[in-house]
Amino acid sequence: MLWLISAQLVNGIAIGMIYALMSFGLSIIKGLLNIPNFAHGALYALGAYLCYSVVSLGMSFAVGLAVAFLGAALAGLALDRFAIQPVSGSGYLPQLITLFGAALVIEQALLIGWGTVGLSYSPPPILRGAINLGFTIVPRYIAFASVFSALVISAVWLLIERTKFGAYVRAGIERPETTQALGINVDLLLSAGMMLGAGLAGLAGGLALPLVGATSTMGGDMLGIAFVVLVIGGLGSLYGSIAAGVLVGVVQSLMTIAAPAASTAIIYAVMIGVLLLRPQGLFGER
Amino acid sequence: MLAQNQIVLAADRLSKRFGGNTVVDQVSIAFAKGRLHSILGPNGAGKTTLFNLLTRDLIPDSGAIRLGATDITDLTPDRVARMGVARSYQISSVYLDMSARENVWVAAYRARGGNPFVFWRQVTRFAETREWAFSCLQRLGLVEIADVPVRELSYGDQRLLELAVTLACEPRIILLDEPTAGLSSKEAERVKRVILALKGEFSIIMIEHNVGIVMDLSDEITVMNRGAVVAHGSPFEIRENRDVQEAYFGS
Amino acid sequence: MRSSDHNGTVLAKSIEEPVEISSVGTTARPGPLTANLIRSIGIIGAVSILPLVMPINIATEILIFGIFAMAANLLIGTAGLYSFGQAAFFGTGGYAAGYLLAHGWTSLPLALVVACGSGGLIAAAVGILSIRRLGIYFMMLTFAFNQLVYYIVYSWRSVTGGEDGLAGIRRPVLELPFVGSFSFDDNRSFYALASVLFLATMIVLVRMVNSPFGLVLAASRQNSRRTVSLGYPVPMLQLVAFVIAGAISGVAGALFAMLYRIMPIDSVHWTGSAYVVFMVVIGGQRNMLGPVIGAAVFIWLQGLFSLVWTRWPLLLGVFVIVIMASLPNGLVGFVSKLSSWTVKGRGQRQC
Repeated sequence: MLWLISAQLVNGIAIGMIYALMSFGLSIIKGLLNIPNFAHGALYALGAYLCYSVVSLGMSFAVGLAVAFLGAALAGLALDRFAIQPVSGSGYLPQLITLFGAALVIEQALLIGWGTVGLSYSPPPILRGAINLGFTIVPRYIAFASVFSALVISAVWLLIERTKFGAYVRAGIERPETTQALGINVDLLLSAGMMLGAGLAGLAGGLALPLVGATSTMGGDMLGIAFVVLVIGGLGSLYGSIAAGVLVGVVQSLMTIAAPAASTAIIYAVMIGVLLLRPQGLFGER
Repeated sequence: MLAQNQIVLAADRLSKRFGGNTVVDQVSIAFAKGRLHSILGPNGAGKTTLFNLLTRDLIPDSGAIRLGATDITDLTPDRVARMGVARSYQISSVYLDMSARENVWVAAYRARGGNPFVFWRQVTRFAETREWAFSCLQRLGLVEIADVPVRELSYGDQRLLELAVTLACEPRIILLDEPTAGLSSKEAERVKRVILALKGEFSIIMIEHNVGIVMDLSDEITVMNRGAVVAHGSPFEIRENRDVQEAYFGS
Repeated sequence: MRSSDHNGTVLAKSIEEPVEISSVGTTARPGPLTANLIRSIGIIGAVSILPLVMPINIATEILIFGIFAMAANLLIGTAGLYSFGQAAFFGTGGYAAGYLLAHGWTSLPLALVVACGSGGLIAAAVGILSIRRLGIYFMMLTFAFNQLVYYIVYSWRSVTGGEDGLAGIRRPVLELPFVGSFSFDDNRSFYALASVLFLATMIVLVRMVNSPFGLVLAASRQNSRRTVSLGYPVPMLQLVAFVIAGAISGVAGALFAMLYRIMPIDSVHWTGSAYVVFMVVIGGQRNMLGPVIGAAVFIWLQGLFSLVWTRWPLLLGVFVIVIMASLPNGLVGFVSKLSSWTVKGRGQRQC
């Protein structure tokens, strides 16, 4: 039993890190553009499918991940140019609606390109098998996904905290009115933020491919989870989503031991609990 | 200084902190019935925060607020409003998608005890509310523009409409937050005349940066700086106060 | 940031113009009473003609989604609450009424009351948890709760039929004392039922928007803090609006279940929530006719695209982006902009 619990715990951390990647990207976009990115799930699915194509062409999984990131980032740029910017002057709802329209286009395009049958992929040989830690056995890929996500999140964190671009991003999130005054090209900043956020979603999709495969419904399912993670983490907090992502992944995984059918419902229960006890989210300020 | 029964609104050692900043620091202040009491002070002195505490838009960290004999420290802002405390905001806060008439109607309806959970009867059918709302527009000379969408009104007219809305609340106490901010001198003069006409009939508390207007209109002045009260007195006393001259008038 | 502050269009106006203005001397324009009469006749006429110009089930679907979209517009257009979870209430009403109709209860009033009640109840639960969260938070929460309801429907196979949908739904029967009983098995009589409910919803919502409740709700959309400072309990008003919209959505869902005698699981999917927001935006939020026109355009397009290509949502997505970029205020906004160039100075409501 203890063995099972620790195995699920490790599994949950890996899934949680993928949630964290998703939500971190969503959080950056939300902070900069002040919109919930309804196409985020579609970008995640795009990443998974792109990664699948690259590895099935015989290239390495690493290239697959890179293409997933870059492809989704480019899609993010296209979203910004063709879906968000044309309507940004006419208020809030049109932007949400066009993002939703873009999500439809991406998801349908995936079905046209790759068919309706779900795809699966086993990790490359080097990441197969398991590591014995004594008290538990960790599949290599699970370990890799966790460490890799942590590294990516740390890199983006450094980018935001330590670079000039990051300073602009933070200024854009914390004091949008001053970025204008500083003479920053806001449009460019927003495009860059959109690309970064979308790229992270694509990368999450690529990482999830060996775990859950690529299916047409994966985007919508993940979008709901990413929103839940953001609400639990707290909207005012850029980094709260990371901790909340891991938390949600772990809770969900542990729940599969007790009641597999309720493992998705439990994360909503956690969200409701957080809303009732701490409405601003675990890490949000009032 | 003030007889207890003349005080309409009072704050007792009121404090508010944002993060590490104490924006309002142990402020005790009493407002007398029928007087126009101005609050002067540089930007960041905590004047608007004090207003937000008095109307309970913000929750004080410590201290008490009394309205007449009632302690209102723990009431919600809509309850405080219904007890006769009306305010105007620094930034124009009229409803831009409605006509001036509708703006005033919304205020007048609640002031007359109207229930917002009426779903079937039409807004046009409340004759008494309509007349009261109309008389508020009349009083501020806004009848001409009653049916123009507020979005299309000049900023000066919007400020006057804001006063009309405040009047329509049938308040006992009016809190005016920079009523002439952003107005041309001609428009400011118009607002000043309106306030002068309201003076005496209502207890008015006013934040205003235009020192000329403050000196002309006020019965009493309190000067704040860095969240605390630094001086209190008649316009004459304040003008003569050396500390105030240095701190505020900069001479 | 309060999301409603972004929204600049006049939303609160309804199609009902003032009833008792002293429009003495303005003989050039028809009086408001006449105008109202013309509008009412126009709408009833349109509802009667609709099934003659298209397949009757499509016409019925337009009315059903018209009801759904009008309810959504009470939130979006009037209250400024951008809910992305309306399909949850549509689905709840449909499944609840559908379950009864599939299990031997065939009373129409019972089915409608249950649909209304269950939609409203779920909306109350979601609303209590979300209504105080502003802007983006509110949208994400309503979306997440929609997903939760979807998962529940998906996994509760014994009651909902899971991903196959709830089948075996029978159309209800209306028993009237002294008159007899009406069945709605015939598509024309079912259309009549849908149009009665559609018109009733429209009357109720148009009156509601012009009632004190509607005006204060519109006021809180434009400036929530100001409305509180005038003494109104804004969160409570918003919650009530949310519950009303949920209850009406439930009725629309029940009609949908009756129409095709099956409640498909797609009807509770979050895309349904996005579609209804799209109907409202494309039609225009200025009055209750806009969302209905949006619903008609949407249903018509959906039918058209699905004939052309199995990947029709892609075409729909492209259409959405193009139409938003070119007509951000919706079709009705566009038309009234055209007409405002010719007719200067629309009448405002007198109150």
